[in-house]
Amino acid sequence: MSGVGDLGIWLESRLENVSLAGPVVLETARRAGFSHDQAYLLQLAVVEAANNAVLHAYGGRPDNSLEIHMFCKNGLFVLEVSDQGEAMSNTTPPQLEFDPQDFTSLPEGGMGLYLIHMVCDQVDYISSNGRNTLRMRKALPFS
Amino acid sequence: MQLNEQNLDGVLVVSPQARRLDASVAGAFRDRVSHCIQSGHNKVVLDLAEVQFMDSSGLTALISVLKAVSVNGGSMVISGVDSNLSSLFQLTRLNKVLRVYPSVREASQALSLDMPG
Repeated sequence: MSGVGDLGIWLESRLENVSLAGPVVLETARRAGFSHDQAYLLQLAVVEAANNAVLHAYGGRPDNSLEIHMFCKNGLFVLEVSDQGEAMSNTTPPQLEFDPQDFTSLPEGGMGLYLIHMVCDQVDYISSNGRNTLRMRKALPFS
Repeated sequence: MQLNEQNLDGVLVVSPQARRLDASVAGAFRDRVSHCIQSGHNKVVLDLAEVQFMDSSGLTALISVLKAVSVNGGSMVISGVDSNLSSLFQLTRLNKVLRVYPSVREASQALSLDMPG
């Protein structure tokens, strides 16, 4: 089922703008057929990817552009976050290791990419001609 | 981000008045609560009843507060967690670390029973 067409969002590279875009991702995922809980997690994945682009690709500098692109294809819901900043140097799915009994071992960063990989079925990173895209795919329900 | 703060029998209850605890506000939230801890509060309830969305920056802020209060021999617990936040805690295994209670009252009572550090 796909109740959405091709949807794109352009943002100036500010964290406040990512906050505004999040609910649009949630609603788009809902219209694509995902439950509220699944749509919430897909919103989370896109927010994490967009935050990473703002903070790392652009080093927190505004006045740069960020794009979120969502569409359904071949039974998959595809969510892409693209920037034209510095490419990620390490795209290996991170581990989240800590000792619950030892608070000093708790992570204070690095959870965003971990969450993206936990939420999505497939994650690819494409960097070409100065444009970086994190492509996340999730099987559509009932597909 | 607006925060409501109240002192209930020696327990500081902090209630963010925002639907989203994300990267755009997490740093300010962490700094405000950390300031309260440095001012002498070592029993803290974070009431997340208004929060409908949290990202990894929000989680990191919670961890920072937990570490800060623990260093001072205190405790931090959480109340008002909905199913979305609960699933986030489970995905990151932080449900094994964070003490979550259904209500502010139950969270405060649990802290009142904690032995001083």
